Amino acid sequence: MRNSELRPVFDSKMKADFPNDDDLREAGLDENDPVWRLLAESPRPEPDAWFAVRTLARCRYAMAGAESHGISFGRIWRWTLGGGLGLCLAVLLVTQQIPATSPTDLKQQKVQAAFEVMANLDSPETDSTSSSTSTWQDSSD
Amino acid sequence: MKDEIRYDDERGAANVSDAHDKALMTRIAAGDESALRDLIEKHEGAVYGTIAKMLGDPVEAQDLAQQVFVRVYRAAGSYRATAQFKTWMFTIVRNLVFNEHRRRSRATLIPLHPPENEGQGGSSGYDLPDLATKTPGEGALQKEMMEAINRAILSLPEQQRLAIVLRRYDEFSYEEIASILKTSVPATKSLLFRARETLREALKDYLEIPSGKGPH
Repeated sequence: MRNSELRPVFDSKMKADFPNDDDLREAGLDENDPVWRLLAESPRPEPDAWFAVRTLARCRYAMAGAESHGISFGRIWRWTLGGGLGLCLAVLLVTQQIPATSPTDLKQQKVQAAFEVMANLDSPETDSTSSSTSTWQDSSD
Repeated sequence: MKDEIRYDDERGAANVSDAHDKALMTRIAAGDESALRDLIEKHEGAVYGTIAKMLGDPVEAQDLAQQVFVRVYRAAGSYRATAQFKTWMFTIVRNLVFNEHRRRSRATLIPLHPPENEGQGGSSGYDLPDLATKTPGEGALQKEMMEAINRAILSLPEQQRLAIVLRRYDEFSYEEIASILKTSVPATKSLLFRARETLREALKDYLEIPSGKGPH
């Protein structure tokens, strides 16, 4: 096998393991840049010793809040479902009971009964059976 | 050659660290609180320090850094290790910091720690390096220079500021910064170049003199 056939395979394999040239060059530039060195004079601030403890507590609180929120949502959902069903049943019962107990219907029944009584008074059977006692006797005879 | 070996060592260490972070996330997802503590202790310096450098307000930085870890904790169950953990976490940092910037730009905020305290010998709130070993004059100059550097960083546009903080203080690669800033590598390099030039101009008084001696 010729050397030229081997070279591209070798190069590509080696290149994958080598560091990025740009990063190396830029890292070198960074280190030689006076601005870069000056920035090191103002170090990054550090958190206080209790930061981790406070953060853990906050994480716990946040998760507890999320969980309780989830439970209350579930509860609300169950109560809504149950309440809705109960309401539907109640509405059904009420709408079925209203015709029997409605004041309007009672009034109508009374009026109807009164009309029936009056109709009975005016009927011929009533006249013949109660002619002697009728106050509406014909006095022309 | 020496640089290449160092780079390989750093990359190897970064890979080990990333694998460790991902293992911690798996344990956190399983409800292991000690893993969460380990993760916080490992990254608190980088997260808090970056946010503090970005906002210039240590109290607000504490709050935001805690929010970052709360989000990491909440997302542990759905976390998929497709990218580097640190890059993913710093994307959360970026979102929170930029949101905070937008909130501040909408509202006029009255600082809780007025700057006059600093003039009366009070602290700016940062954990400053130990100045006890320096003479009073050197200490004052050092403090003045640190404040000038912080002011110069804070005066940068937010993308440039985050790029320079991530590169200088957290030693992120260009690819990682590009991923965090949701931009390309050339755009990241351009951001860093402009940030450096702005800083060079703002800090020229301190660049013309030996480090730590203050401007004339």
